[in-house]
Amino acid sequence: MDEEPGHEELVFLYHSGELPQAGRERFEKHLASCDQCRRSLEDLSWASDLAREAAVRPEAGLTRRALARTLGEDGVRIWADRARSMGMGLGLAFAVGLFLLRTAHPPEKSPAWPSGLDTEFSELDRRLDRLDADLSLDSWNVEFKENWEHLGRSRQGLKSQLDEQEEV
Amino acid sequence: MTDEDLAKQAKEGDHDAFAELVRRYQGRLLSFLCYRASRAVAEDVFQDICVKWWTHMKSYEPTGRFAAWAFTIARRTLIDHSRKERGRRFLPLEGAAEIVADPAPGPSRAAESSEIGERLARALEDLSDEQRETFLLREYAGLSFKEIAAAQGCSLNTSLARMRYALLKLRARLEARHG
Repeated sequence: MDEEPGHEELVFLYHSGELPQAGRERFEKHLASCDQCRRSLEDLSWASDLAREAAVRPEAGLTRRALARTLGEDGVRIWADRARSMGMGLGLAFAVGLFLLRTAHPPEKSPAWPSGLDTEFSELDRRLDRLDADLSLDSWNVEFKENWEHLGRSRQGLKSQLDEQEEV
Repeated sequence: MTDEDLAKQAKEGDHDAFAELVRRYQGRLLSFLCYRASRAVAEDVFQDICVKWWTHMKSYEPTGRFAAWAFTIARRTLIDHSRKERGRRFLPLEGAAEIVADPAPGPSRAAESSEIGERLARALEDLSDEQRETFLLREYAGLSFKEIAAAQGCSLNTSLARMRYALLKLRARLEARHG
């Protein structure tokens, strides 16, 4: 299988940034006039896109288990801290989103504000606060995902109601 | 902070730096493993690799790229695992009952959750082991062809040729079915 590098191999080296500067400039000039090399370059981009789309996502507990096995209790602690800060970040982002939504649709400007929405917003805020407080290593993956999805659905429902009211 | 900066800190025993490296590499590593082994094996080997990264951290030379060092260990660990598994499969009959059958053998089960993953897995089956590994080291590990050649112990031209054949076969297979 050992062969002299042909144009296609040079395209690979160009694409991976392994050609020296002079070779790179020379190859770019060649590329402008060579359909075959341009096609090879497209093939590489196609392969990269394909690989990116087909990347396998780690299941949530895999890395946590690996760190626990590697670093012991400290690995567990680090992962828990990371998960907690990420959860709080997401919670904060959601709270900001809710705030912006309420600012864009202030109740006082909408005489047809549906009854009970304020209570529901308050309940959502309370649940967000509780979510931040309740995050723990064992419950994070499942509980946070379920709560997050539920809050997302609630938010969507409320937004739809507001939109309908605005139209009215 | 670059991977190499983190690796330097991990080399000094910094757990947080090491955890950050694992977080950064988890997706790439699992993708690399899943297209060469079943998901169950890939996840086992994933953990073995993390342990080896940590225990061998002292051997990391900051002059080199962390990715090249990390995936050289990753591929060796996977090869060792495959050899052990092959050895166990050739046990005499009286020991055969101890062999735990892999419920999902082969790379084709690796990414069943996504259609594109399954298509890629099927197409990769047409490649030789070396061609498949070259493709995965380039696309998921992000290694340069020089780094791939060093990891595989072959010449640069060989690694380039393997990639060329890999792309030809993948394109032919995927376009024949879907193009």
